[in-house]
Amino acid sequence: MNPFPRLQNVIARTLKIEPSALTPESASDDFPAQWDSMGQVNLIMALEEEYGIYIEPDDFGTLKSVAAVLALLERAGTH
Amino acid sequence: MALTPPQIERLLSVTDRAQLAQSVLALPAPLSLPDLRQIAEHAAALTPALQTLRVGFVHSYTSELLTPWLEVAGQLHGLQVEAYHAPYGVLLGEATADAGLVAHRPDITVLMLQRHDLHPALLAPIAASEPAQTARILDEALSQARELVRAFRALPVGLLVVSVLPPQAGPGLGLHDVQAERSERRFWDGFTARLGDWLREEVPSSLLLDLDALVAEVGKRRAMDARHWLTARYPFSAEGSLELAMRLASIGRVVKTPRAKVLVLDADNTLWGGVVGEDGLDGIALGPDYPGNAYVAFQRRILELQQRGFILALCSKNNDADVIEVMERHPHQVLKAQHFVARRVNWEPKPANLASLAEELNLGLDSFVFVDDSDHECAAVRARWPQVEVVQVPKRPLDVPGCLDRVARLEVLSITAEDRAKTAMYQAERQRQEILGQAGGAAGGDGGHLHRLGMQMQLRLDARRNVARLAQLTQKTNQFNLTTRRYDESQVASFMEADDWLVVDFSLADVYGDSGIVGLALARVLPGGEAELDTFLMSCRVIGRCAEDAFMLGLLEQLQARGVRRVLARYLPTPKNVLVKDLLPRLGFAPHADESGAVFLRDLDNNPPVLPENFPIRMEWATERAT
Repeated sequence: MNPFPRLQNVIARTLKIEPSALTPESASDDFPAQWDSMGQVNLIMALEEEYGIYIEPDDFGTLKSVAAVLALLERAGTH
Repeated sequence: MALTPPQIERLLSVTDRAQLAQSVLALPAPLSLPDLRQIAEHAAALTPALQTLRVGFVHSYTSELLTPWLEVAGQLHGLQVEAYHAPYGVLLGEATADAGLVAHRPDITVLMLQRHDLHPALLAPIAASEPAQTARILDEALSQARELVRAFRALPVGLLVVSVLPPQAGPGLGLHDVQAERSERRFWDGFTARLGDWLREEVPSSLLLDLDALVAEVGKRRAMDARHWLTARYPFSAEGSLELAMRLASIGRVVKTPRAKVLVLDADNTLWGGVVGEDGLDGIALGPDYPGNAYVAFQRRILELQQRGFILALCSKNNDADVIEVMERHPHQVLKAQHFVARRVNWEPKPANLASLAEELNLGLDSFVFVDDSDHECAAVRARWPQVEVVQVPKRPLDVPGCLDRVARLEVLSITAEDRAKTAMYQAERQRQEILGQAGGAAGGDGGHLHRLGMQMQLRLDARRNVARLAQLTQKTNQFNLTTRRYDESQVASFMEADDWLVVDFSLADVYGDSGIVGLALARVLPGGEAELDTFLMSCRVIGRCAEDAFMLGLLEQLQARGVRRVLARYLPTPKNVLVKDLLPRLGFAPHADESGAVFLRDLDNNPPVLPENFPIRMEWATERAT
C-alpha cells in the first residue's frame, strides 16, 4: 500500500497545511510558516502517536521532508 | 495512539459539544494531535457558536508548543482560543502597560515559571544548603513569586494563573527524600502551601495551577518528555500537553460561562446500581463490595462537589417512598434527605421537573448540571433545555465515581463562606417560606408577618475581604439587578480603593439563619453634590422581605453623609431583570425630566432617607469599615 496518503493526512492536520499542497517531494522549507521548529516538535509527537513508534532525538533534525519521514517509517517497519 | 476509523466516525456523529468532550476524555488512550484536530473541528462547528477566549503566556520555557493543544481543547469546550506568548524568558519585563500582553487583552494570563526563576540558589541541590539557609531561600523565593504576581495583577490581564514547573527528575535524595531533613519534596510542598495561602487571601482573580498534581495524575514519565525538554525547552509530552491544555480550557470555560450552581441527580443507576423499585432496598448495588462500592465512592464525590458550593437536587422516576427508604434505612447510603435542597421524585417528564426545580430554587436553567444514566432522559433534556449541561453516567460501575471529575463547569476558582454554607441557607429558606406561607399571602402586605422573622441587616462599606463574593454577585445576579454590569475581583477591589466610589454590601440574618452576603451597591460620587448609582443588585433568596428598602436607605444615608444631594440611577432592561423594572420609583426615585425614560433621580433634600415606622428590619453598619 502506498504510505504517502496517510502521512499526507498526518502532516496536513498537524501543521494545518492544505493536504493538496503536500507531495512526496515536499520539504519543511516549502512551508516556512507552518513547518518551522515548533511545527517540527508537534510533527514528531504526532508521528509517534499515529504510527506507534519512538523517534530518537538524533533523528529530530533530519525529518525535514516527506521523503525523510517515509524513510524513517520504512526503517521502523511501519507505514 | 491513532483512533480507528470507526472510533472517529462515532465521535463525529455526536452533536452535543459537552457530550463530545466527555467522550474524548473517556477514551482509554491519549489522542494524537491530527485526530484531535479532526474532532475539534467538528466540535467547533456545533452550536452554540464558539466564544473567544484570549490567553496570554508569560514563560521562562517554551510555551508556544501548547498553542495547538489549547486550540483543540478550547474547541471541545466551546472556546475559540487566541493565544499570545510573551517573548521567551522575559518575565517582569512583560509586566508593563505597553507590553504585548496588555495589548492582547487576555481573559487569562498564565505565568509559566521554573523553580530557579524564583531564586538562583535553586539551581543547586536543596540538600546542599544548611536548614537555616534553606528557610531563607524559601522566604526569598516566595518574595520573588509575590513580586511577579503583584506586577502582573496590577495590570488588566484577566485571571492570573500561576504555575511552577516540576523538574523532569524525581526528588534530589531519591527514595530517602521524603523523610530527609533536607528534603526537596518538603521544601516545595511548603513553598506551594504558602504561595497558595497568599494568593487566596491577598490576590483577587488568581489561581495557583498545581502542575505537580497534574503530572502526578497523568504520571510523570507519561506527562513529561526529556527529549523535547533537552532539545526544545518544552517539558511536556503529547499526553501532558493535552492534559494541561484541557485544564486551561476548563478554567477558560469557568471564566466565560455563567456559573453552574445546581447538580441535579438521578437515583437508580446513578446514586446506586440497579432499580430500587424492582430490586428492593437489599437488592440495589450500594456497599463495600464491587460494584456497590463504586456508587458509595460516587456519592462521596458528590459531597465534595457540594463543598465547592454546588447545591444538590434529586430528580428521579420512582415512588418517593422507595427513595426515602434508601436515604433513611440503607446502611451504606451516603447522601441523606438533608443534603438535597429540593426533590422531584415522581413520574413526570424530567424536562418539566427541571423547569419546576428552576422555579422553586429561583435559579436559571443555565446554572443546572443534570446527571443521569439514561440515554433517553439525557437526550430529552438536551433537546428541551440546551442551556442545561447534561452528564451521562457511564454504564460501567468502574467509571461512575470519576464521571464528574472532568466537567469543566464543576470547577471553581475560589470558594467563599457563602458557597460552603449554601445548602444550609436553602434549607433555612424553605422553613422561612413555610412560616411566611402560614402567615397568609406573600410578603409586602402589611409586613406584620415579616416581624416574625426577626431580621437584622448588616451593612459594610468597602469590605476588602468580601471582594471575591462581591465580584461573584456581579457575575451571577441576573434578575434583581438594575444595571447587570459585570465586574471581576480586581475591578471591585479598585472601586474600594477609589475615593469617589462607594462599595456597599449587606447580609441579612433572621431566626432561621444568616443569608451571607446577598446584596451589593456601587455608587460614584460626582462633583456638585451628585452621585450616580452604578450597580444595585440583590440575590433572589432575600426577595420579598423589604431588604431592598433597607439597603437603599443605608446607601442613601452614606451618600448624604458625603454631601450628596441628588442621586441618579438607571434601569437597564435585559431579558432577565424585568423584576426590577419598577424598583426605582418604588424606592423614591422619580423619572429624570432632562433625560429619556431610563434615568431616575432622587432628590435627598426634598425626599431624605428616613426609616419608616414599624420597619421589620434592624440595620447596623459593621464596625470594621474600610479594611
